[in-house]
Amino acid sequence: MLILAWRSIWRHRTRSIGAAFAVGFTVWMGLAYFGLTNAIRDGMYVNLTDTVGHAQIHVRGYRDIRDFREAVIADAAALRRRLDATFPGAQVAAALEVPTLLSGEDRARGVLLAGLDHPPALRDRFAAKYVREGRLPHPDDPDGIALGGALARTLQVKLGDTVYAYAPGTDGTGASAYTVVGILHFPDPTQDARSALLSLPAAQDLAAPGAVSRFELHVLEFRRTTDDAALVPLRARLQDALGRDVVVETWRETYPSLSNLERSLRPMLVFFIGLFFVLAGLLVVNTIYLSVIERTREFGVVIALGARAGLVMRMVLAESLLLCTAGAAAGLALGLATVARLARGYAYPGSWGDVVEAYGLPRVLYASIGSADIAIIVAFVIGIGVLAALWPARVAGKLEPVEAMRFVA
Amino acid sequence: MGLLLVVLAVSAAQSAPDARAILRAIEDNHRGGSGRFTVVLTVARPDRRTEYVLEIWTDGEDRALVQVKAPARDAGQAFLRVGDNLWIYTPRLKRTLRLPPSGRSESFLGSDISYSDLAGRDAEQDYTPRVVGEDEAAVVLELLPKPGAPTPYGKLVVKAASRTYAPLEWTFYDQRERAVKRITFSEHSRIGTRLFPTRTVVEDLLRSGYRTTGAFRDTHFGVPVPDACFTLQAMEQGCE
Repeated sequence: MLILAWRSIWRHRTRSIGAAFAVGFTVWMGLAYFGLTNAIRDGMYVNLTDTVGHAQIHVRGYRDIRDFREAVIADAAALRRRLDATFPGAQVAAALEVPTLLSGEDRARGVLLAGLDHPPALRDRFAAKYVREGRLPHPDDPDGIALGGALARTLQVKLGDTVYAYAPGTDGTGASAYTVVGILHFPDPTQDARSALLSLPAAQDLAAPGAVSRFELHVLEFRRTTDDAALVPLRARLQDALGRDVVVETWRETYPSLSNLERSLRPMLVFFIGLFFVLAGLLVVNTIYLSVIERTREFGVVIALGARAGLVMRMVLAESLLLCTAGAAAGLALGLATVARLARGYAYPGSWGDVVEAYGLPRVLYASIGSADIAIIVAFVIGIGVLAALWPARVAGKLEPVEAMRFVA
Repeated sequence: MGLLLVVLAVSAAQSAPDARAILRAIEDNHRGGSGRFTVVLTVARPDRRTEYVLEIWTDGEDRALVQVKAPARDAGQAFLRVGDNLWIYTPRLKRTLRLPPSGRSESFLGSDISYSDLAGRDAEQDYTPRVVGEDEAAVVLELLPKPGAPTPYGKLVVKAASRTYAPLEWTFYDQRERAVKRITFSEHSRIGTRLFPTRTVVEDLLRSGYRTTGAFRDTHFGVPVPDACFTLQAMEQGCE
């Protein structure tokens, strides 16, 4: 039956090649889109996890706590020791966030002052990405502060100016003066208008000696969304080691909206690829239907010789699937080669690259494709192969042998 | 008969309480007029208790100077409210900081009261009142925020004594009509024509064990407070 189907396809070479090309092009495009989208998802993943860590440790119930004193891990040093014992050599960052009134000479704003202690590699990456002027405060700097660009403009301060922080009702000094050592730029305007960064010791001195709001665990080997599967057992291990006073969350649990944003890319992509397959499928329907009409007399003879309707329909189905498979095989080979090339790294040219960077993605992205992506493409190919054959097969299956043998196109 | 109905309607309208006037009377009692007094502010939390001693000068309207006298770590801090403007003085920085309008609803010294509670007549300014209940003992007003009013609350319910309009209880509701904060006034003291509550308890209704109590002592109402008390210099030097 397959040989018969193959011969039928080649009877009208141009039309069949056109339909197979449409299927192949769609497969190639689908694979390329998957590759490029995975590159963006992985870029987002690296960007997000660089900023917030792969897992975070907070005081249990921290989301519902509004009192600053209760929202912090009081004995941060002890917890850090347990963390280091559980994951020796882990990249751990610590942050203390203090609701503060920050004032320049004349203007003031309420901000969330963040005291940060990042491992050197993450600190350098953060600085390279966000510092626009000056530098970040040094890890033990008691006086330096870096401000978001919009916040600096609001407070009307520049590098070298003094800003004043007031954090009442806390256990630290409650008020302190800092020198602006850096101006940052965050793509998110809200973050740019509310960000003020200190060294961790400076923030602790201001509001909560020895305390942190959270620890972040950074797993530098995890650079792809597919690496996330390993986070769940890691979180469970950490939770067991650190006890019930704190809660360990993966970044997806801490920032569900960011996680959903990252996850929403894939369903959207599948939907659009599906639309392209529908368009390609229309060409296949056209090809198979015309082929059936042109061979009406042949089908009449086959039916007159005793072939049942089911066999005739299977012949049409085989022709459609073979046409789609031939196109898909070429598209698959070309698509995988394209993704393999882009997997070595690529950058969008000119201002497109600037746009990518403005959204916080790395300039150089790396395409990738998973077996699930390929399975989706193959499923689409089989799907359109079957669906495109349904109507022509039904037409062929219903032919009356005598009328069919007399048919003149 | 028709004339009788008209007369009844007119007399009913005349005796109906004017919500704005009632709110003004409640605020008059609440603010107590000009004067100087000491307040012991006790901030209670489930695991601790902090006591502040505050010295306050006010003109009874929209100006007030608050100086922290104790505990030692906070002593010397001062807060000045003049109309919608609010400044903070911290001796550690030896300078005044101006609080932005968005910060007026922030917590005062980590307590359950906000900076906007320090003085002023925000309720009259930012809300539209209506009487929702009245009996022999108390009158109840419902205050809905005016469009664009700088308040995080969706509704206030104010309860005051019926004839004197001495404030008894204020309940604050969020935008989802959930009661979030209650202020209870008691131990009213007669100051001239006013009935001033000398004990105020602020409760966080969403978290048990969160409570701030203000007890007034050493009150000197009716004394004139010079304008010099409501200046930035007075924040540092005091107003003796």
